[in-house]
Amino acid sequence: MGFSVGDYEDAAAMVVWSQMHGLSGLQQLQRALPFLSNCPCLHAKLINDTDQQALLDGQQSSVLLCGSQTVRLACAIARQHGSGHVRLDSCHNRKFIIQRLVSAAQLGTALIAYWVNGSTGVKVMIEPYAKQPEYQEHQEYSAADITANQSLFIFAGSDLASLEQQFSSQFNLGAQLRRFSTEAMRNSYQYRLEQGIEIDQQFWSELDNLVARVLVESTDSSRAGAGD
Amino acid sequence: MHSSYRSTAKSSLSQSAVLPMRPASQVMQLNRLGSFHQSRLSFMRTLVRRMVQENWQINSTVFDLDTEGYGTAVYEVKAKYGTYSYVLFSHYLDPENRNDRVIADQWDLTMALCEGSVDAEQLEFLRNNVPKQEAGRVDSRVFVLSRGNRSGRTFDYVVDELAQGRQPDVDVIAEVGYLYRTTAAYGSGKLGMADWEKVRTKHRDFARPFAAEMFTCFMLRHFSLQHADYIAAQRAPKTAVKLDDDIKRYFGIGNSTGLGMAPFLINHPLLINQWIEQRETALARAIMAGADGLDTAILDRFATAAARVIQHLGEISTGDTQQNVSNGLVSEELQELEQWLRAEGINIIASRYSWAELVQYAECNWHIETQEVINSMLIELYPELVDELEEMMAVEEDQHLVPQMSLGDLKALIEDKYDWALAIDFSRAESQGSFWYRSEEKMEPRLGQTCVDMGMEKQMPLAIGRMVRECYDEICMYMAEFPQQDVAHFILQQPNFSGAICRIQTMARSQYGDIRENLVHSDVLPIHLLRCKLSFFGVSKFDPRSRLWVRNTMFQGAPLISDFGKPFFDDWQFPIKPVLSSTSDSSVG
Repeated sequence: MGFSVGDYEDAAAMVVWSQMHGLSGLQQLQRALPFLSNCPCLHAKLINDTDQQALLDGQQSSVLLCGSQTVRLACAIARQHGSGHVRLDSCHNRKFIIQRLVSAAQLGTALIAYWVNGSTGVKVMIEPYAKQPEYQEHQEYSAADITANQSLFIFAGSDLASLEQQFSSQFNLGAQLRRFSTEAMRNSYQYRLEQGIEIDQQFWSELDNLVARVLVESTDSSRAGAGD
Repeated sequence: MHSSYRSTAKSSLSQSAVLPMRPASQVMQLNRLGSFHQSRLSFMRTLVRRMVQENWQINSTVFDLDTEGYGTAVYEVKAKYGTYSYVLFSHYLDPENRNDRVIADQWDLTMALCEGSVDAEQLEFLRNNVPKQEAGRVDSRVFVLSRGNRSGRTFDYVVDELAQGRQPDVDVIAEVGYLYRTTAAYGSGKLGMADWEKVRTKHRDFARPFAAEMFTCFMLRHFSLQHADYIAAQRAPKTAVKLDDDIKRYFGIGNSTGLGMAPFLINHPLLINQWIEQRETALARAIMAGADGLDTAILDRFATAAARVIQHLGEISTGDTQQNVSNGLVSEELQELEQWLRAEGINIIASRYSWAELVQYAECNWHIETQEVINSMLIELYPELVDELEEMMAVEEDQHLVPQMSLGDLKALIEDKYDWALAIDFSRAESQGSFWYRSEEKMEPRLGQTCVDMGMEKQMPLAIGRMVRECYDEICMYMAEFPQQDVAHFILQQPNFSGAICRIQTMARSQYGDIRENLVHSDVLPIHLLRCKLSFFGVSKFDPRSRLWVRNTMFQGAPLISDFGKPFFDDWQFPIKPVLSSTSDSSVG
């Protein structure tokens, strides 16, 4: 698909993490695949960057490509200024961002991610060094442009309580519709670790076909390149 | 060699509490890595110690073979923390179809290591999938999938001899060293198998790197010996004898290793760092143990070990000229060492000669492979200082990018830790004369020649030195415009370097891990990569078949299952021909 070194490891980690923790990573990937496999690999572009805030344009790309840059920028700003807030517009597959939050948390950063899907606001929070985040879905009353712009908001800082205050000052969430606790995620992970991950045969074939793009045709001469 | 050759290392060793670890600039040179030999920390050695000391109970619950030896065998394994099943299928294979390469699709034997006991339904499922290997699918109850091919040179000979009531000639066995050779052992989540995380957290018996894979090969050795006995008895029930136990111990399992191992070493730098760091720690501890002088007992053990290695090297049969020359050189230098130890023992003790001096002498005067043999021998002398390190061979492999690092700091980091990469001139054609790729033929890793072979645009990213160089150049250019900027902003501009920076920052926190060689040079010797990994597995008798693949022997000289639980001297390093007793245990089969 044209992902470069670093990107494809991050993307694979995002998909596998989502699947292992009960957030349907493979299903999300299956939906995204037609788009991913036929579009250029575009990363996020920096639109503006003030002290504690930055705005990125996702260029209608996937979080599988833009997610790492976004979270890393938020963490870098947070390290410099105490907290950081990055908004990524025009990006897809935002649910995949969760693994990047978990990864960043391992370096001692607290994070909150927020995005709106239809009329539902999704909020994900993680404490520094935590292995699992808390996932919540709420009724959403935010400004219409957030939905229209396919936006993703990342807040990063040294502690979650301070980030919650910043978050509350910007977003007014409605009733909680669904919650996926850290414990539920841990249980899901353990179950899938024990049982393995089932992959639909047709989807597996699609992935196989994508893999074939990086394989080189075999010839008598190339066979010699492995030991004859 | 003279005891008058003394280094200044002794005084610094005895004065310093810090272990004298060798620098990465020395250890991580490809030709040195390719000179490593097995040690007490090698995975076969640690597995065998564990099995013998914990007295694992291994019994066949199914041995359903026809008179030719084809069929199914299942072994139940009761280890300290759990029960496992080793399931093996023996198939007829036309000798013309016998191929050790990844591209093969038929084998004499195929096998799987499974958790728990295997019922009839699971056995049927395995029978439908295990013989297909990569083309089949298993489930998370399976840890390892493997296969083996019969040795054309020994198997029929051994069976014939046994059937005629004779033990096989040890000299003939020494030529090969095994009845079967394995050509792959897959694990860690491949083909539907249990993820390493599951194995590590649930099955403590196999919670060390490659422990389950090594066990699978050990069980193949066990089966191969039973198999020869069984077929001989079927063929000639009245005359057949069983293999003598001493001869059995001298049989290992053959192994063919090709380029498949090379990407692993590059793609798991933190794991490689961990392995090498433990080995270097073991060596440093051994050297420190002799810092204040040596005694008669330890010198005698060391001289005996040297004699053993000399005999071992003399018994290796390889058609590779370079390996033969190397084995000869190492033998000569070890003979010099042994003679000196025997002749000068009293003076060595009286002068408080140290291992540090010996190591330094070897580095100055002897072949690199001799140096590494001596290092393995030194590690062998001090099990009480070394063996605990076997618990440290696993590591979390997460790599993390530090986005707030200033580009100035990152640039300095590259100049400090990757000076070897910056020293390579990639503008020279030979510096990019090779490329690594995967073939569409079973995804076999191959090495291509630039401008000769096709597929360069699909090459695997194994040229770490070149990747670092490109990243460094981009950073320099970016910094000319934005000198105060950080990594996060740089990768917004240059996202394709995020992987390189992640690796650089991660590996800068460890000492070993990155192999200091241009792996796309036209003269690169991949065989050194294979030998390095194989030394950590614990193989012996390297028999290079080209610069791209090597045959070797696993578990030769190791105890048999019938030895488990008995007094055990962990001394099967550098196996040598057995001296058979006149009362050999060769009852009628």
